[in-house]
Amino acid sequence: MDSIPVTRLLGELGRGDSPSEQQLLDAIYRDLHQLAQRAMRSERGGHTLQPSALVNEAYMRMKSQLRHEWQNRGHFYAVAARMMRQILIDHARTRNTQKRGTGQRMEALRDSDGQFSCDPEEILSIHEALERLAVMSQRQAQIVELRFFAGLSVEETAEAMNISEKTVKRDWSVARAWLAMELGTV
Amino acid sequence: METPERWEQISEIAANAIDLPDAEREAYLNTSCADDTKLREQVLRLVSAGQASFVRLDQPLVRGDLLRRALSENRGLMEGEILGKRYRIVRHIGAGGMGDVYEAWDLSLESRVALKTVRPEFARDEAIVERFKREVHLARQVTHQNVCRVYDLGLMERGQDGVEVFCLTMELIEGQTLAELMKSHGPWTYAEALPVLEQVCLGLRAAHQAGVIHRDLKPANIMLVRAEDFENPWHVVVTDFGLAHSNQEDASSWTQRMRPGTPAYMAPEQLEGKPVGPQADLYALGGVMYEMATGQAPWQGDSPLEVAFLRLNEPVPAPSKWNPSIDLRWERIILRLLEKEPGDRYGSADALLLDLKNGPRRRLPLRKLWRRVDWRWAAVIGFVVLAACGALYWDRVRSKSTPEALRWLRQGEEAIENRSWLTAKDLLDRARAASPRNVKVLTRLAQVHEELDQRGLAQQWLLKAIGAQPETQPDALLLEGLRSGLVGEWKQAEAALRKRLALESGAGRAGAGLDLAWLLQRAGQGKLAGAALEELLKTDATHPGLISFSVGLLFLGGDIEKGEARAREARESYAALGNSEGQVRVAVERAEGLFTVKKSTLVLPAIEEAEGLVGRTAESRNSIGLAALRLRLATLRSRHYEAAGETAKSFETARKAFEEARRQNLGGSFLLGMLRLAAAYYNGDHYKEAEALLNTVIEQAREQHCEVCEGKALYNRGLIAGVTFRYEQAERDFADCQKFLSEAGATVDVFNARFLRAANLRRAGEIERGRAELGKLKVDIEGKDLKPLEARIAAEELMLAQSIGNYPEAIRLAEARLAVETENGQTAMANTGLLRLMQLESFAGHKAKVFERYRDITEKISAKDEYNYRYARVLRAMLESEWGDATAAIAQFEAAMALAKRQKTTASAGEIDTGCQIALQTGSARIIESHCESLWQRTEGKNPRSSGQAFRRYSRAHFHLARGEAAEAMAEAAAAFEIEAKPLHPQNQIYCGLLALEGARRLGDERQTALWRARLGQARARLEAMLGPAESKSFWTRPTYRKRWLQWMDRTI
Repeated sequence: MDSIPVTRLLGELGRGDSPSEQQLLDAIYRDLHQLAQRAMRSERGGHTLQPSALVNEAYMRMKSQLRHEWQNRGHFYAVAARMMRQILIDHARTRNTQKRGTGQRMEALRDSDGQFSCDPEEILSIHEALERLAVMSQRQAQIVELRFFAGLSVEETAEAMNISEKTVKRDWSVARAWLAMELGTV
Repeated sequence: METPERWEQISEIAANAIDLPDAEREAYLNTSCADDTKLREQVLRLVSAGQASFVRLDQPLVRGDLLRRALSENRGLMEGEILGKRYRIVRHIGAGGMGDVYEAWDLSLESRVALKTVRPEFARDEAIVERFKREVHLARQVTHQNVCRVYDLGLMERGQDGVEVFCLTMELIEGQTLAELMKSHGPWTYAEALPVLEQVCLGLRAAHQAGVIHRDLKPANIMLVRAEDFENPWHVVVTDFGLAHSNQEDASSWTQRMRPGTPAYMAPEQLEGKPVGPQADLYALGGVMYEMATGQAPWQGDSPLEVAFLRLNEPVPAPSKWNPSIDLRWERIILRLLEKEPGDRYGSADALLLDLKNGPRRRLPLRKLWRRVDWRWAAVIGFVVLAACGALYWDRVRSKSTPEALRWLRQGEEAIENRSWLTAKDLLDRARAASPRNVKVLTRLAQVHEELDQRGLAQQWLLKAIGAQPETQPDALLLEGLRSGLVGEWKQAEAALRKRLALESGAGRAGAGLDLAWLLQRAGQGKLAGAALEELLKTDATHPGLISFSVGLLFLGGDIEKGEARAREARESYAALGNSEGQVRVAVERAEGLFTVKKSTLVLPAIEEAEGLVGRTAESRNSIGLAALRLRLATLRSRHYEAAGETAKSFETARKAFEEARRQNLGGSFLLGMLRLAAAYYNGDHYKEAEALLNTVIEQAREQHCEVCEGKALYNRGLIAGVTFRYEQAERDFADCQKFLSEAGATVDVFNARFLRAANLRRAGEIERGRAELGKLKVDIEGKDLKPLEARIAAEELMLAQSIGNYPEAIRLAEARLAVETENGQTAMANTGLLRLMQLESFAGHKAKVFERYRDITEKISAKDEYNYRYARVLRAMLESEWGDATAAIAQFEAAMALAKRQKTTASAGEIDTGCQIALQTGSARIIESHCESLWQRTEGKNPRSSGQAFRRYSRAHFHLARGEAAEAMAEAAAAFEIEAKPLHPQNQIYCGLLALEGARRLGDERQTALWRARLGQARARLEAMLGPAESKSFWTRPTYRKRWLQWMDRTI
């Protein structure tokens, strides 16, 4: 059971011991991962995962675990975005494996209200490109993570990262251009 | 890939360049990149890529409003924030499984409350919210000082973002939780813990009585507030009643699974997702006690799953393992609370409370007794323990039923067809020993135990049967029929058994029909049961089971002639088969039938004939079935004596019957035999003895978890309290009885107890409350098809109307009841109903109607219904007497007595007492001399304490006075006044006292006159104390009437 380490980690985090955010996220992530697997297993036919449902679960989960220990809204956004990214990437990886395994047509990841669709391979390539970007600029990679994986506005991103909006805008425009190049979508 | 430093440089320049108009960009790059052409090239590529109107990144993978909304919904409430325009948040107190707890200020009521938020993932789920509301609604009904009050519940606006929060408000308790206190407290001693535990128990009791189960009792939900009391240093409040929700969807959802801590105190049945009752809370309390006593949880493990596994499969380590100095009484209580089977724990918080206060009773004497009486219980208990320890094991050994088991089963079913229940039980027990999982065996065992009034066992077998797979559809239908019948869903039960009957052909048909008739009879549908049997007899005229079952039903329908003929037929049929037990059974049923139709002269000979048959067969076959029949005969004999006014004989017979039952190892009948003896004491007006016996029954039943038995004993004790005018005690007993029976799942009996409560209220003069309770009960049993109870309610409604002098209403109700009884073919009852109507019409003053009714009655009541045929004349005589026509009254009464002679029977004590009343009114010495005196002599000294005897003594006092025998009059009146065991109602005492006073006056005995004046004064005070406030009391206690009556009394004195 993961409940015990998660709770303990959260407690440590709450007391400001700040163990490692990564450890915390890993622990929470294992739960979410199980959830996602269950959700996919229970879907008949098309194995689509509905991001909004999953996102909500992730937020509730984090919120309920951390309760009042959030330092600020930004802290919350940052953790949420990291988790979202991990969940979505993992889902995309699973889909990819399945696709390769069965030779079926790849299903798009689709939001519940059908606003957009995203190819798992595309998500994976964005993720990998972001990893490369992070080697060059941790800050830019994080900005992309917040804006793309969690849908944050410029102001929210600034708040989450405790930097100026101007910095966010500038970094975003460069990272956006670089990624567009890397992904070959231009 | 660039180095971070290089990339920073590129980024810096690119960021500036992207924003610049094309014209200015060239100049900027010239200066910023200087001669670094590689840099310039890289920036330009970036600028060009950045100029694309859309790249994939512009469309976020997740919409941002989801996150904002989640954050806003989940963010805790702020100090000073106002919720729902009513509650101002004062401070955050703590966090629980469902959400957060705050102290808040209620702006409209200006008081401090605790406000609990419900996390949105719960609040969003409509099913959860609905259940939550239902539970909170229930919890709100509980008002008890040891239960936290719940006030308000619903969605409340947060005043910003239009976000609503689901929350509830409750009593703010300022103290610490037991969980907090336990951290700083070493192991508790019993003496330290007791005041806390008692209060938790009281709180649980109040909630359980209101039908609320806590479901999540734990130290964190037990609040302790320092009290300024040396004896009792803590005031304890149990919080969060009914707030925990534990259904299966929840349990499988990951959020629920992850809720920290909660499962630590859950009962095994709760962990398994089975329905939970009060016993689940008692289990949790056991866990709390364990922790208080030892400083640690009963089971230790590395994960909640492991702990749960241990809890389900391992016995709990004795608390003394951790705390060797623990009070052994306490340890026993804790271990009993932590039993895995709910049925092995205490029956209720009340039972636990009793043990907490006294320490568990020593069990040795009863154990010994029990071992001697009924070894089968041990088998049952052993089975339960085994089942609890190794459900898996049983699955493995579940194999095909052995031929031996099937043979026992077949014989058992045959015994059921002949309604030889104890024999059937014996055979089925053997079948079960051979094949423990045979559904049919388990089902039949349940049926037999239900018939033997052992509902707890019946339920247990049924549960086990339901858990297994029936082999055939008829078997499944039988199981379904029994299950529905046991919970009072008669319609479904009947449908299932009718369907089963339709499926059966040939040899199985009679058996299926008998099962249906059995059920219908239990449902109070004698007429339908009879009809079903008659139908089957058409095609299967010689089936002894069918013939013999129909005997009793025929008598019940009032058809003596046909009943007698059928009884002969049945006996011949059994004789032809050489089944002597069957013959005896028919003879017993005939005797019971004759008793039912009040054919009193034939009852005793019928009993003796049956006993003779038993005597002849007992030598050859000393079976348990015959022993049971002997017990039935003895009981009948006792009831017959009772009806004939020979109470001493009645009681003696009952006592012998009980001892016989004990000697014969009549199984579960033993405690029930004690109950019967108590009933005989009760009916013989030996109230003190009856109550003492009932107390023993209650104690032993409690010890053995025989909840139905305990409920029944409480029921009887309540009856005694009621007739001895201790209405409050009666109320308590009926309430307890209701609780015990409902815990045992005896739905129908619970309704009966509720009925008695309502009737008790009427007797206590609480007319309106009685009426209200009755109304509620009527609603609750609607559609449940409980004919006998409906009849009793109808009768009670009639009594209510009558007791407040509302005769038009009473007549209307009596007519409705008559219609029902006629419809049901309950001829004898319907005839009594006609007589009742006549009496009511006379009370209402409709003299003309009464005569009309009488003509109608003489036509309608057939001479076959001898008792009512005769009683119509007795009643007519009494009415004539009340209207002042002495000659007509005396003539009618004499005619009735002459009729009795022609019918070759003796008039009942009630009839003769009515004659006595007529004699008192008309001054007829003839009635007294030729009828009453023989009754007086017959009953003299038999039971000098019965209330009938009081009336007779009172009457005799009157006649002595009339003859000028003042001394004798005074003596008789005094004897009536002083009757002890069943105290006279003070009003009746006053009547007797006034006669004695008159006697004393005529004698000129001043000392006696003064004595009786004083006694009358005391009786008057008792009467007034009993009546209480004038409001909402019954007819004769209406202020004006009461005043006039007391004035009359005062004048006479």
